[in-house]
Amino acid sequence: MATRSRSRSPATASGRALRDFGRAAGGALLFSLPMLMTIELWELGFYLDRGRLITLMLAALPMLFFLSRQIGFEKTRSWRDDVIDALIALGVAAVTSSVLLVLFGAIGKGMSADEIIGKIAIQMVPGAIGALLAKSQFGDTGDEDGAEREETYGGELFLMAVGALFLGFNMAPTEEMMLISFRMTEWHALGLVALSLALMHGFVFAVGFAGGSEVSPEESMWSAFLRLTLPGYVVALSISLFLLWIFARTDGMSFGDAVMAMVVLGFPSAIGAASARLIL
Amino acid sequence: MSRRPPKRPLIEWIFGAFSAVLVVALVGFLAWEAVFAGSRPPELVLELTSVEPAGSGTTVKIAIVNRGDEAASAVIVQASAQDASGGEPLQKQIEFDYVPGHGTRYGAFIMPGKVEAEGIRIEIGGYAEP
Repeated sequence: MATRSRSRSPATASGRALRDFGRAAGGALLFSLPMLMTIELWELGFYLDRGRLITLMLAALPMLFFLSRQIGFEKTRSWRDDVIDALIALGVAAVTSSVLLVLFGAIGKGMSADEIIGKIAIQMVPGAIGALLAKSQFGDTGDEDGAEREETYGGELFLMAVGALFLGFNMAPTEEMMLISFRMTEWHALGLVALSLALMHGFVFAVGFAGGSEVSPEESMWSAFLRLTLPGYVVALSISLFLLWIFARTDGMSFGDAVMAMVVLGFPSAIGAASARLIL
Repeated sequence: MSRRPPKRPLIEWIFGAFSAVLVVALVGFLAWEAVFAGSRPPELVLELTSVEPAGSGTTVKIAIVNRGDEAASAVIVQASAQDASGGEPLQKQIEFDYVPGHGTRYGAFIMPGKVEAEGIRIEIGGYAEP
Protein backbone atom coordinates (compact mmCIF):
# COMPACT_ATOMS: atom_id res chain seq x y z
CA MET A 1 0.00 0.00 0.00
CA ALA A 2 2.69 2.38 1.03
CA THR A 3 4.79 1.82 -2.06
CA ARG A 4 1.82 2.28 -4.28
CA SER A 5 0.85 5.52 -2.65
CA ARG A 6 4.38 6.75 -2.92
CA SER A 7 4.51 6.18 -6.65
CA ARG A 8 1.49 8.39 -7.07
CA SER A 9 1.99 11.90 -8.26
CA PRO A 10 1.97 14.78 -5.76
CA ALA A 11 -1.38 15.76 -7.23
CA THR A 12 -2.93 13.10 -5.00
CA ALA A 13 -1.46 14.64 -1.87
CA SER A 14 -4.85 15.84 -0.73
CA GLY A 15 -6.23 12.38 -1.34
CA ARG A 16 -3.48 10.94 0.79
CA ALA A 17 -4.18 13.42 3.54
CA LEU A 18 -7.83 12.42 3.42
CA ARG A 19 -6.86 8.77 3.63
CA ASP A 20 -4.62 9.47 6.61
CA PHE A 21 -7.44 11.30 8.35
CA GLY A 22 -9.72 8.38 7.61
CA ARG A 23 -7.26 5.96 9.18
CA ALA A 24 -6.81 8.17 12.21
CA ALA A 25 -10.58 8.46 12.60
CA GLY A 26 -10.90 4.69 12.30
CA GLY A 27 -8.26 4.21 14.99
CA ALA A 28 -9.91 6.78 17.22
CA LEU A 29 -13.22 4.99 16.82
CA LEU A 30 -11.77 1.57 17.54
CA PHE A 31 -10.12 2.73 20.72
CA SER A 32 -12.83 4.98 22.10
CA LEU A 33 -16.03 3.19 21.09
CA PRO A 34 -16.35 1.22 24.34
CA MET A 35 -16.02 4.50 26.21
CA LEU A 36 -18.29 6.47 23.90
CA MET A 37 -21.07 4.00 24.72
CA THR A 38 -20.56 4.01 28.49
CA ILE A 39 -23.00 6.14 30.43
CA GLU A 40 -20.60 6.71 33.36
CA LEU A 41 -18.30 8.57 31.00
CA TRP A 42 -21.10 10.82 29.77
CA GLU A 43 -21.95 11.63 33.36
CA LEU A 44 -18.34 12.26 34.24
CA GLY A 45 -18.30 14.74 31.39
CA PHE A 46 -20.43 17.12 33.42
CA TYR A 47 -19.76 16.34 37.03
CA LEU A 48 -16.04 15.74 36.92
CA ASP A 49 -14.04 18.39 38.69
CA ARG A 50 -12.63 20.67 35.98
CA GLY A 51 -9.23 20.74 37.65
CA ARG A 52 -8.95 16.99 37.17
CA LEU A 53 -10.17 17.19 33.59
CA ILE A 54 -7.45 19.73 32.84
CA THR A 55 -4.88 17.52 34.60
CA LEU A 56 -5.95 14.69 32.33
CA MET A 57 -5.59 16.81 29.22
CA LEU A 58 -2.24 18.22 30.34
CA ALA A 59 -0.95 14.73 31.05
CA ALA A 60 -2.25 13.52 27.70
CA LEU A 61 -0.37 16.08 25.61
CA PRO A 62 3.19 14.98 26.45
CA MET A 63 2.01 11.36 26.49
CA LEU A 64 0.71 11.66 22.92
CA PHE A 65 3.85 13.46 21.85
CA PHE A 66 6.14 10.74 23.20
CA LEU A 67 3.84 8.06 21.81
CA SER A 68 4.17 9.66 18.41
CA ARG A 69 7.95 9.70 18.81
CA GLN A 70 7.98 6.15 20.06
CA ILE A 71 5.91 4.63 17.27
CA GLY A 72 7.17 6.91 14.53
CA PHE A 73 9.60 4.62 12.74
CA GLU A 74 11.82 7.23 11.18
CA LYS A 75 14.52 8.44 13.49
CA THR A 76 14.87 11.51 11.34
CA ARG A 77 11.48 12.82 12.29
CA SER A 78 11.62 16.26 13.79
CA TRP A 79 10.02 17.18 17.12
CA ARG A 80 7.75 19.50 15.24
CA ASP A 81 6.28 16.61 13.26
CA ASP A 82 5.47 14.76 16.45
CA VAL A 83 3.87 17.78 18.06
CA ILE A 84 1.74 18.26 14.95
CA ASP A 85 0.85 14.55 14.85
CA ALA A 86 -0.20 14.59 18.51
CA LEU A 87 -2.38 17.66 17.94
CA ILE A 88 -3.93 16.18 14.79
CA ALA A 89 -4.68 13.00 16.72
CA LEU A 90 -6.46 15.04 19.40
CA GLY A 91 -8.39 16.94 16.73
CA VAL A 92 -9.47 13.78 14.94
CA ALA A 93 -10.53 12.27 18.26
CA ALA A 94 -12.54 15.38 19.09
CA VAL A 95 -14.38 15.27 15.76
CA THR A 96 -15.03 11.52 15.94
CA SER A 97 -16.34 11.60 19.49
CA SER A 98 -18.46 14.72 18.87
CA VAL A 99 -20.18 13.10 15.89
CA LEU A 100 -20.87 9.88 17.77
CA LEU A 101 -21.98 11.56 20.98
CA VAL A 102 -24.48 13.59 18.95
CA LEU A 103 -25.72 10.45 17.21
CA PHE A 104 -26.06 8.62 20.53
CA GLY A 105 -28.07 11.52 21.89
CA ALA A 106 -25.47 12.16 24.58
CA ILE A 107 -25.05 15.67 23.26
CA GLY A 108 -28.11 17.60 22.30
CA LYS A 109 -30.31 20.59 22.81
CA GLY A 110 -30.66 22.09 26.25
CA MET A 111 -27.15 21.20 27.37
CA SER A 112 -24.68 23.78 28.55
CA ALA A 113 -21.43 24.33 26.67
CA ASP A 114 -19.64 23.23 29.82
CA GLU A 115 -21.38 19.86 29.75
CA ILE A 116 -20.81 19.33 26.03
CA ILE A 117 -17.14 20.25 26.18
CA GLY A 118 -16.65 18.06 29.23
CA LYS A 119 -18.24 15.07 27.52
CA ILE A 120 -16.08 15.47 24.42
CA ALA A 121 -12.87 16.27 26.30
CA ILE A 122 -13.00 13.11 28.36
CA GLN A 123 -13.31 10.98 25.21
CA MET A 124 -10.47 12.69 23.42
CA VAL A 125 -7.64 10.95 25.25
CA PRO A 126 -8.40 7.33 24.31
CA GLY A 127 -9.49 8.46 20.86
CA ALA A 128 -6.23 10.28 20.27
CA ILE A 129 -4.20 7.22 21.30
CA GLY A 130 -6.18 5.20 18.76
CA ALA A 131 -5.71 7.82 16.06
CA LEU A 132 -1.93 7.84 16.57
CA LEU A 133 -1.70 4.08 16.57
CA ALA A 134 -3.76 3.69 13.42
CA LYS A 135 -1.37 6.01 11.69
CA SER A 136 1.59 3.92 12.73
CA GLN A 137 -0.04 0.59 11.99
CA PHE A 138 -1.00 1.27 8.41
CA GLY A 139 0.80 4.52 7.95
CA ASP A 140 3.25 5.66 5.37
CA THR A 141 6.16 3.71 6.80
CA GLY A 142 4.97 0.20 6.11
CA ASP A 143 7.91 -0.68 3.89
CA GLU A 144 10.59 -0.03 6.46
CA ASP A 145 9.55 -2.91 8.72
CA GLY A 146 10.61 -1.07 11.82
CA ALA A 147 14.27 -2.00 11.56
CA GLU A 148 15.34 1.49 12.48
CA ARG A 149 13.24 1.59 15.58
CA GLU A 150 15.38 1.86 18.62
CA GLU A 151 14.10 0.16 21.72
CA THR A 152 15.19 1.70 24.93
CA TYR A 153 14.35 0.68 28.48
CA GLY A 154 12.58 3.98 29.07
CA GLY A 155 10.67 3.56 25.82
CA GLU A 156 9.62 0.10 26.88
CA LEU A 157 8.23 1.33 30.21
CA PHE A 158 6.55 4.22 28.44
CA LEU A 159 4.75 1.88 26.03
CA MET A 160 3.67 -0.17 29.04
CA ALA A 161 2.22 2.99 30.57
CA VAL A 162 0.27 3.74 27.39
CA GLY A 163 -1.01 0.16 27.26
CA ALA A 164 -2.07 0.38 30.90
CA LEU A 165 -3.70 3.75 30.29
CA PHE A 166 -5.64 2.42 27.33
CA LEU A 167 -7.12 -0.62 29.03
CA GLY A 168 -7.45 1.14 32.37
CA PHE A 169 -9.31 4.04 30.79
CA ASN A 170 -11.97 1.60 29.59
CA MET A 171 -12.75 0.41 33.07
CA ALA A 172 -11.73 3.07 35.59
CA PRO A 173 -14.92 5.15 35.21
CA THR A 174 -17.29 2.23 35.70
CA GLU A 175 -19.09 1.55 38.94
CA GLU A 176 -17.92 -2.05 38.77
CA MET A 177 -14.35 -1.24 39.75
CA MET A 178 -15.62 -0.03 43.11
CA LEU A 179 -18.19 -2.74 43.58
CA ILE A 180 -15.71 -5.50 42.76
CA SER A 181 -13.24 -4.09 45.25
CA PHE A 182 -15.96 -3.95 47.92
CA ARG A 183 -16.82 -7.58 47.35
CA MET A 184 -13.23 -8.72 47.58
CA THR A 185 -11.36 -9.49 50.76
CA GLU A 186 -7.65 -8.73 51.10
CA TRP A 187 -6.97 -12.40 50.37
CA HIS A 188 -8.71 -12.02 47.01
CA ALA A 189 -6.60 -8.93 46.37
CA LEU A 190 -3.40 -10.82 47.14
CA GLY A 191 -4.45 -13.51 44.67
CA LEU A 192 -5.16 -10.84 42.06
CA VAL A 193 -1.73 -9.28 42.59
CA ALA A 194 -0.11 -12.68 42.10
CA LEU A 195 -2.17 -13.38 38.97
CA SER A 196 -1.44 -9.91 37.54
CA LEU A 197 2.29 -10.45 38.01
CA ALA A 198 2.24 -13.98 36.61
CA LEU A 199 0.27 -12.97 33.51
CA MET A 200 2.42 -9.92 32.98
CA HIS A 201 5.54 -11.96 33.19
CA GLY A 202 4.12 -14.45 30.71
CA PHE A 203 3.41 -11.63 28.28
CA VAL A 204 6.78 -9.97 28.81
CA PHE A 205 8.53 -13.24 28.12
CA ALA A 206 6.40 -14.31 25.18
CA VAL A 207 6.46 -10.92 23.52
CA GLY A 208 10.05 -10.25 24.52
CA PHE A 209 11.25 -13.37 22.78
CA ALA A 210 9.13 -12.68 19.76
CA GLY A 211 11.25 -9.83 18.54
CA GLY A 212 12.24 -7.43 21.23
CA SER A 213 15.75 -6.68 22.30
CA GLU A 214 14.79 -6.19 25.90
CA VAL A 215 14.56 -9.84 26.87
CA SER A 216 16.93 -12.39 25.44
CA PRO A 217 16.70 -16.16 25.77
CA GLU A 218 20.06 -16.31 27.52
CA GLU A 219 18.79 -14.28 30.40
CA SER A 220 17.49 -15.84 33.57
CA MET A 221 13.79 -15.56 34.25
CA TRP A 222 14.45 -13.52 37.36
CA SER A 223 16.41 -10.90 35.51
CA ALA A 224 13.48 -10.13 33.21
CA PHE A 225 11.09 -10.34 36.14
CA LEU A 226 13.05 -7.79 38.13
CA ARG A 227 13.88 -5.46 35.26
CA LEU A 228 10.61 -5.47 33.31
CA THR A 229 7.73 -7.26 34.99
CA LEU A 230 7.97 -5.60 38.40
CA PRO A 231 8.53 -2.05 37.07
CA GLY A 232 5.77 -2.72 34.53
CA TYR A 233 3.39 -3.70 37.30
CA VAL A 234 4.31 -0.63 39.32
CA VAL A 235 3.67 1.49 36.20
CA ALA A 236 0.29 -0.21 35.74
CA LEU A 237 -0.66 0.37 39.38
CA SER A 238 0.41 4.02 39.21
CA ILE A 239 -1.66 4.56 36.08
CA SER A 240 -4.60 2.86 37.79
CA LEU A 241 -4.36 5.09 40.82
CA PHE A 242 -4.05 8.16 38.59
CA LEU A 243 -7.16 7.17 36.63
CA LEU A 244 -9.15 6.41 39.77
CA TRP A 245 -8.24 9.82 41.11
CA ILE A 246 -9.04 11.54 37.79
CA PHE A 247 -12.47 9.90 37.74
CA ALA A 248 -13.06 10.78 41.39
CA ARG A 249 -13.34 7.13 42.38
CA THR A 250 -11.04 7.44 45.36
CA ASP A 251 -12.86 10.41 46.89
CA GLY A 252 -14.09 9.84 50.41
CA MET A 253 -12.44 6.42 50.53
CA SER A 254 -10.17 5.07 53.20
CA PHE A 255 -6.57 4.28 52.30
CA GLY A 256 -7.19 0.55 52.44
CA ASP A 257 -10.19 0.72 50.10
CA ALA A 258 -8.27 2.90 47.65
CA VAL A 259 -5.46 0.34 47.60
CA MET A 260 -8.01 -2.41 46.93
CA ALA A 261 -9.54 -0.43 44.06
CA MET A 262 -6.07 0.21 42.68
CA VAL A 263 -5.32 -3.52 42.70
CA VAL A 264 -8.62 -4.27 40.96
CA LEU A 265 -8.05 -1.73 38.20
CA GLY A 266 -4.39 -2.74 38.21
CA PHE A 267 -5.35 -6.11 36.77
CA PRO A 268 -6.65 -4.87 33.39
CA SER A 269 -3.98 -2.17 33.42
CA ALA A 270 -1.28 -4.81 33.92
CA ILE A 271 -2.63 -6.82 31.00
CA GLY A 272 -2.71 -3.65 28.90
CA ALA A 273 0.84 -2.80 29.92
CA ALA A 274 2.22 -6.24 29.22
CA SER A 275 0.49 -6.60 25.88
CA ALA A 276 1.36 -3.06 24.82
CA ARG A 277 4.01 -4.44 22.51
CA LEU A 278 1.38 -6.47 20.70
CA ILE A 279 -1.15 -3.70 20.39
CA LEU A 280 1.07 -0.68 19.95
CA MET B 1 24.14 -21.07 22.36
CA SER B 2 26.75 -20.39 25.01
CA ARG B 3 26.53 -16.64 24.52
CA ARG B 4 26.78 -14.68 27.71
CA PRO B 5 23.63 -12.79 28.68
CA PRO B 6 23.84 -9.18 27.55
CA LYS B 7 24.93 -6.79 30.26
CA ARG B 8 22.15 -4.55 31.50
CA PRO B 9 22.65 -0.94 32.51
CA LEU B 10 22.62 -0.22 36.22
CA ILE B 11 19.53 1.99 35.94
CA GLU B 12 17.41 -1.03 34.98
CA TRP B 13 18.42 -2.84 38.16
CA ILE B 14 17.75 0.28 40.22
CA PHE B 15 14.28 0.56 38.73
CA GLY B 16 13.75 -3.13 39.27
CA ALA B 17 14.83 -3.00 42.89
CA PHE B 18 12.72 0.09 43.56
CA SER B 19 9.68 -1.58 42.01
CA ALA B 20 10.33 -4.75 43.98
CA VAL B 21 10.28 -2.74 47.20
CA LEU B 22 6.95 -1.13 46.22
CA VAL B 23 5.31 -4.42 45.26
CA VAL B 24 6.57 -6.10 48.44
CA ALA B 25 5.14 -3.16 50.42
CA LEU B 26 1.79 -3.58 48.66
CA VAL B 27 1.70 -7.32 49.34
CA GLY B 28 2.77 -6.69 52.91
CA PHE B 29 0.03 -4.13 53.42
CA LEU B 30 -2.65 -6.41 51.97
CA ALA B 31 -1.44 -9.36 54.02
CA TRP B 32 -1.37 -7.26 57.18
CA GLU B 33 -4.91 -6.02 56.49
CA ALA B 34 -6.05 -9.55 55.70
CA VAL B 35 -4.73 -10.93 58.98
CA PHE B 36 -5.23 -8.08 61.45
CA ALA B 37 -7.88 -5.73 60.09
CA GLY B 38 -11.40 -6.46 61.15
CA SER B 39 -14.39 -7.02 58.93
CA ARG B 40 -17.00 -5.19 60.91
CA PRO B 41 -20.27 -4.68 59.08
CA PRO B 42 -21.21 -1.17 57.95
CA GLU B 43 -21.83 1.23 60.80
CA LEU B 44 -23.48 4.28 59.31
CA VAL B 45 -23.60 7.64 61.02
CA LEU B 46 -25.47 10.66 59.70
CA GLU B 47 -24.47 14.22 60.16
CA LEU B 48 -26.33 17.39 59.25
CA THR B 49 -23.72 19.65 57.71
CA SER B 50 -25.72 22.71 56.69
CA VAL B 51 -29.20 24.12 56.21
CA GLU B 52 -29.24 26.87 53.59
CA PRO B 53 -32.03 28.73 51.89
CA ALA B 54 -31.95 28.08 48.13
CA GLY B 55 -34.41 29.85 45.90
CA SER B 56 -37.87 29.40 47.38
CA GLY B 57 -36.80 26.32 49.30
CA THR B 58 -34.12 25.04 51.65
CA THR B 59 -31.16 22.82 50.90
CA VAL B 60 -30.36 20.44 53.72
CA LYS B 61 -26.87 19.04 53.28
CA ILE B 62 -25.84 15.85 55.00
CA ALA B 63 -22.77 13.68 55.32
CA ILE B 64 -22.93 9.96 55.87
CA VAL B 65 -19.93 8.26 57.43
CA ASN B 66 -19.35 4.53 57.44
CA ARG B 67 -17.35 3.60 60.54
CA GLY B 68 -17.46 -0.10 59.75
CA ASP B 69 -14.94 -1.98 57.64
CA GLU B 70 -17.33 -3.21 54.97
CA ALA B 71 -19.03 -1.11 52.34
CA ALA B 72 -22.78 -0.54 52.29
CA SER B 73 -24.67 -0.09 49.07
CA ALA B 74 -28.10 1.32 48.23
CA VAL B 75 -28.07 3.31 51.48
CA ILE B 76 -31.41 5.05 51.95
CA VAL B 77 -31.52 8.23 54.01
CA GLN B 78 -34.80 9.82 54.99
CA ALA B 79 -35.49 13.29 56.24
CA SER B 80 -38.58 14.85 57.71
CA ALA B 81 -38.92 18.53 58.34
CA GLN B 82 -41.48 20.69 60.05
CA ASP B 83 -42.02 23.87 58.08
CA ALA B 84 -43.13 27.21 59.49
CA SER B 85 -46.84 26.60 58.77
CA GLY B 86 -46.93 23.78 61.33
CA GLY B 87 -48.79 21.37 59.04
CA GLU B 88 -47.89 17.79 58.12
CA PRO B 89 -44.10 17.22 58.24
CA LEU B 90 -42.34 17.06 54.86
CA GLN B 91 -40.89 13.66 53.99
CA LYS B 92 -37.89 13.29 51.68
CA GLN B 93 -35.65 10.43 50.75
CA ILE B 94 -32.32 10.07 48.95
CA GLU B 95 -30.27 7.01 48.11
CA PHE B 96 -26.49 6.64 48.07
CA ASP B 97 -25.18 4.09 45.58
CA TYR B 98 -22.61 3.03 48.15
CA VAL B 99 -20.70 4.21 51.17
CA PRO B 100 -17.29 2.50 51.42
CA GLY B 101 -15.89 1.28 54.73
CA HIS B 102 -14.29 4.13 56.67
CA GLY B 103 -15.50 6.42 53.90
CA THR B 104 -17.75 9.45 53.70
CA ARG B 105 -20.40 10.41 51.17
CA TYR B 106 -22.29 13.67 50.85
CA GLY B 107 -25.81 14.47 49.74
CA ALA B 108 -28.59 17.01 50.11
CA PHE B 109 -32.36 17.16 50.59
CA ILE B 110 -34.37 19.87 48.90
CA MET B 111 -37.21 21.10 51.07
CA PRO B 112 -39.87 23.47 49.80
CA GLY B 113 -40.30 26.62 51.83
CA LYS B 114 -38.31 27.76 54.81
CA VAL B 115 -37.13 25.07 57.19
CA GLU B 116 -35.13 25.48 60.37
CA ALA B 117 -32.35 23.11 61.39
CA GLU B 118 -34.15 22.31 64.66
CA GLY B 119 -37.18 20.99 62.82
CA ILE B 120 -35.25 18.49 60.69
CA ARG B 121 -34.95 14.81 61.52
CA ILE B 122 -32.69 12.59 59.44
CA GLU B 123 -32.37 8.82 59.66
CA ILE B 124 -31.05 5.87 57.76
CA GLY B 125 -33.62 3.60 56.20
CA GLY B 126 -31.29 0.71 55.52
CA TYR B 127 -28.68 -0.64 53.17
CA ALA B 128 -27.83 -3.61 50.99
CA GLU B 129 -24.57 -5.55 50.85
CA PRO B 130 -22.70 -4.72 47.68
